[in-house]
Formats: sequence, structure tokens, C-alpha cells
Amino acid sequence: MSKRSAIRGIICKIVCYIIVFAVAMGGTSVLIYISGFNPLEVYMLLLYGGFGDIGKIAAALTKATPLLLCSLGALLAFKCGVWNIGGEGQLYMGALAAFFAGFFLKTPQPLHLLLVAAAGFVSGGIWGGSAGILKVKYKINEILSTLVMNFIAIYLVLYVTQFPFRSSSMYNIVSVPIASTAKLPIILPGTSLHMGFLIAICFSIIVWFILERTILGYRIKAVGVNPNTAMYGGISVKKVTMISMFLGSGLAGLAGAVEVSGVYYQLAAHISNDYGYLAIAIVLVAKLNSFGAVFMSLFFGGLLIGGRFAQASLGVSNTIVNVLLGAILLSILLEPLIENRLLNIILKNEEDK
Amino acid sequence: MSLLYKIAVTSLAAALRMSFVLLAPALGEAISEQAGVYNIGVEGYMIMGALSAYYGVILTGNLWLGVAIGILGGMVISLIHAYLSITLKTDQIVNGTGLWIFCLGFSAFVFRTAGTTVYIKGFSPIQIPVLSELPVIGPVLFQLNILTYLGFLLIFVVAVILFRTPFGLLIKATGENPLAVDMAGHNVFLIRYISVLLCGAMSGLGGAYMSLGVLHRFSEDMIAGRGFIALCIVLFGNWNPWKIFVGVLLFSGIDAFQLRMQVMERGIIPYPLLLMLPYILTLVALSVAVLGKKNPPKGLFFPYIRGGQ
Repeated sequence: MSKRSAIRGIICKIVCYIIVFAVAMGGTSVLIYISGFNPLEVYMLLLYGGFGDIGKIAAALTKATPLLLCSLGALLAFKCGVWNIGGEGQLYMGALAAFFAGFFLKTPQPLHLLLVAAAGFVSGGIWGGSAGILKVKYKINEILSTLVMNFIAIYLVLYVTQFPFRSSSMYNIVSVPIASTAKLPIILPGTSLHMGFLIAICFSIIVWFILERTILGYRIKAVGVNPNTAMYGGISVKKVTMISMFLGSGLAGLAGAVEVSGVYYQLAAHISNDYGYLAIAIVLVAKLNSFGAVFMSLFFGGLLIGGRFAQASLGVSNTIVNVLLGAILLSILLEPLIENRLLNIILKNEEDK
Repeated sequence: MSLLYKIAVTSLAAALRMSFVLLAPALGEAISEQAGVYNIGVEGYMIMGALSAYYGVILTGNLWLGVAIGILGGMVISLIHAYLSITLKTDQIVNGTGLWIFCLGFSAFVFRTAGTTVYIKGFSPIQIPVLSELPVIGPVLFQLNILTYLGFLLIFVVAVILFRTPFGLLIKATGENPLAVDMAGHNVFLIRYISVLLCGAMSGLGGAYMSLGVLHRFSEDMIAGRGFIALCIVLFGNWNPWKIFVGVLLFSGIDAFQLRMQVMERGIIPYPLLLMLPYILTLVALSVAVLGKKNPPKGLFFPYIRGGQ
């Protein structure tokens, strides 16, 4: 009987997710239809534009790289019950430090790349970690502090690109380029896919390993489930909170470093395309599951590229991808309702038999 | 007249004019938090308010209809939050964050698809006769637009409702001890729904004012974290409408000051650093607020489950 109920639970979960996605896609379809496009055509173009051929997949993976790193960062914090929604700002701070490291330092390439990445990680980590200190020391709500710090970081980057390190480009607000030794090598010739993607994949494995196979991961999750119980169990809640905040923010900072040294080769005022915010949605949609977060990041990296493709060929705004993500997130929130109804129906059917 | 005097007077006037953008959402959130529901998505309500008010005015051609549609826009989103948090009893933070991110994407999509960047006339200042010609006070206090005056009225209304009516008492009791309210025969769920909808309506109004009264147009990043600043102000103001007003004045003052500096004193301080000012102030105020004595409603964040768990 227990085996049967377990199977029933799994089937119920799967059906539930299918319903959730159907609801989200249905809602988005209505919006696409109202704005004068054929929803089916738009969805096909989104998929084709993101995963159609090897070049498109490479572009999708390039796009997914910062998204993946930000998602991992958000995941580490959320698992610990810390609402770090400052991934965007931490990404900007990471990009800023990486730009300085790439611009000022003069070392051979491997060392230079390492320094750039480290600068990004540490800078993002300190930026988010300071919000962590405010939280554990003075009980300042991290949601508010990290969000406000996003704007400070964004304007700081705007200042650096616009004033002291301004390039002569008239069209974009970008800084002067970084040294050639600080550029991440391209791993797939002829495309934009750079080594940052491999770094992101490595970190996915590391984050999974930390969370599932180490004592630190156990402590992070324990604090996330119930800080009081964790404290009675002898876990230093403050220390664990700080560590997860620092590591999580550091990963977002690394995303900024990867964008600077792998994609832009300079600091841009709008270096993030809302990666920090999209990552929050992705982690929530994945229900704080590491595999889910990695998969969703890669998938939405593709959809973001597909969105551009659809915009170029159809004229539908590429923000439709953001709407789709938002709609999925909203319908995921309805999941408990759907699951309860489903279980009721199944149980009722069995009783009838 | 010296330049500094001019900056000071215009900043003060602008501070009062802009105060409504933060005041309405902060007051609404104060009500909702006292009833025990936290709205992280205030930013989202404001975005929807700004968006729907803007298109409401373009479609109907009537400013007040636009305001009403803006209020409605905020209420629709807050209704979703209320349903998820109160009825389904899911995590308020997750719901609010989800709604905020949805609104970000949704507004960007609608705006880019509809694609109009029409300048709408919006609310213009009313020149109150005689009084508006007084030095300093005149331009600061008596040349504001009608919604700003309504905003000042709103503080009174909210303060009276919260402190002087049975309903205000019920709201506060619901936030402190929902079980007691339920035992006394009142409907906890209804009270919470009303509070959240009030918050949505007032945030929508704040957003509508941003597009109709301040910028006279819509842009995707126009709310720029003001919803979250409003949340900080509620904390800073200790859930008291009058203290919230002080907080709002502080923020809109610094906001107006940096906007004036950008326009009038071009180049003395680089503009990105000026743009940063309100957010730095928020961070400082947040620290000050938390270091002071605080007594948040005991039932905040906790969904009420009849019959306990």
C-alpha cells in the first residue's frame, strides 16, 4: 500500500507540474494573442531561436552562464532561509572588481584570469556579505537591504563607465577595454561560447556537492528549515547565515566577472540583463532544487536568445520570455491547491472502486 | 535670488509634490502589516498602478478615470497576493517576490508591445489665490497639484481609521492575535483581505501618481525600487502614519534635491552619484530604524489557520 501511495504521489506531482506549465503557457498565449501574434508560432520561434542549431545552442549556453551562476547564488542563500534578492547588485559589483583587475593588473593569462575571477567573487561576496552582517548583527531585513544595495551598485557601475573610465564609444555607455590577457578563451570556435560556461557547470557540481554531501550543506539546510531548531542542535546560525550569504553573493559576483572577461571585454553600464532578478524566479520555480535550478537556467538561457530571435523575425517583444517566467512562477505558487484537488480526485476514485 | 535659495525652494516644493508617490503605498502597507500580511510585492502593485493609469488615461482621455484604473491595477495584483497568502496560506515572501517579478516582466511586455511614449498632460499644479504668492511658503505649499493635497488628507484618514475606529482596532488585533479576533466572532480572513486590498489600492494610486503627476509618461524602470523604499519607511515610521509621513518627507526631499542638482548644477557632482543618494539614505534609515525600539505585529508573516495546526 505504501509503495502504491508513493507512486500515486509521484504521478500526482508530475500531473501537477504539467497543469502548472499548461496554465502558465495558456495565460501567456492569451497575452500574445491579444498583442496580435500567433502564440504557437511565437513558442516555436522561441524554441528554434534558442536551440535550433549548434550556433544557437552555443549562444544560449553563453546567455545561460551568468543566469546559472546567479541562480546557484540565490539557491545557496534561499536554502539557508536568507532572502538575498540582491543578485543583480552583487553581479554589478563583481563586474566592477573584475574590470579593475582586468584593466590594471599585468600578469600572464592563466594567472590574470584567476585574479579576475577571484576579484569578482570576493567583491560580490563582500557586497552581499555586508548585508549578511547587517542581518545577523543588527537584525536588518536582508530583503530590503540587498534590494536597495542593488541600485547603489548599478549607479556605481554607471559612474565608473560614464566618468573615470569612459570609452570613446558614442552609442553605448561602456568603459575602456580590459587587457587581452584577461579575456576568457572561446571554447567552441566560431561561436561566442566561452570558458565561463565550464566554470558555471563546475560550480553547479560544487554547489550540489556542498548542499548534499557536506556538513556545511546540512547546516545551511537545517538553518533554512528552522533556525531555532538548528540553534538548539548546536549550529551557529549566524556563522552559517554569513557563510551562505557570502558564497551566494560571491557566485553572483563571479557571474559579473564572467560577463566582463568572457562577453563584453569591458565594463558596460547595463552589463546584466536582469540576470539577478530572473535567477530569483528560476530558483523559486525550481522549488529550491539544485538540478531544477540548473536545468531551468539552461532552458531560460535558450529562451532569452530565442526571444531575441522571435523579436527580430516576428516583431513580438523579447520580454515575452520574462512574462512566461513570471507566469510559471505565479502558477507554481498555486501548486498546493492543484495538488490537493488532484489527490482528492484520485482518492475518491479509489474509494468508488 | 541666490542659486542655493532657488534650489532649496524648488527642492522643497518638489519634495512635497513627490511625497505622494511614497506616502500612499507606505500608508497602505502600514495597514496591511498591522493586519498581519506583509506585501513584498508593493513594488509590483506600484508598477501595475503606473502602467494601467497611463494606458487608462490614453484610452479614456480622462485623468480621474486613469487614476481609478491605476488603483484597480494595483488591487488586482494585491488580490492575488491576498488569495495566495490568506486563503492558500503559502509563504508571503515567496508570493510577494513572485508577483513583483511577474509585474516587472508583464509591464515591460505591455509597454513595448503597445509602444506609445505619449506625453500626457497629467495633474498640473493648482495656484491657490493670494497664498501662492507668499515668498517661500507660496511656491512650496500652495502650488501643489490636487493629489498631493489628497495625500495629506490620506494621513489623517488612515490615522483616524487605525487609532479611532473599531475597525482600526480590529485590524491591529488581527495582526497581533488573530485567534482572539476569531474567538470574538470576527472574520479574520475578511479583515486581512480588506487590508491587503487597501494596500494594493493605495500602492496602485502611488504608482498612478508617478506616471500621471510626476513623469507624465510611463517607462519600464520608473518605479525603481520605490516600493521597497516604502517598505523601509513603514519600518522607519514604526507603523504610525505621522512618523511614516516624516520618513516620506525625508526621502522625497533627498530625491527631489538630487533631481534638482542634476538639472540645475550640471556637472558639479556626477549624476550617477546623485542618483545613488536616496538609496544610501534608505540603507542608513533602515539601520537607524532597526536600532531603535521596534514592535512589529506579532502575527506578521503567519497565515491564520482556523482551529490551529
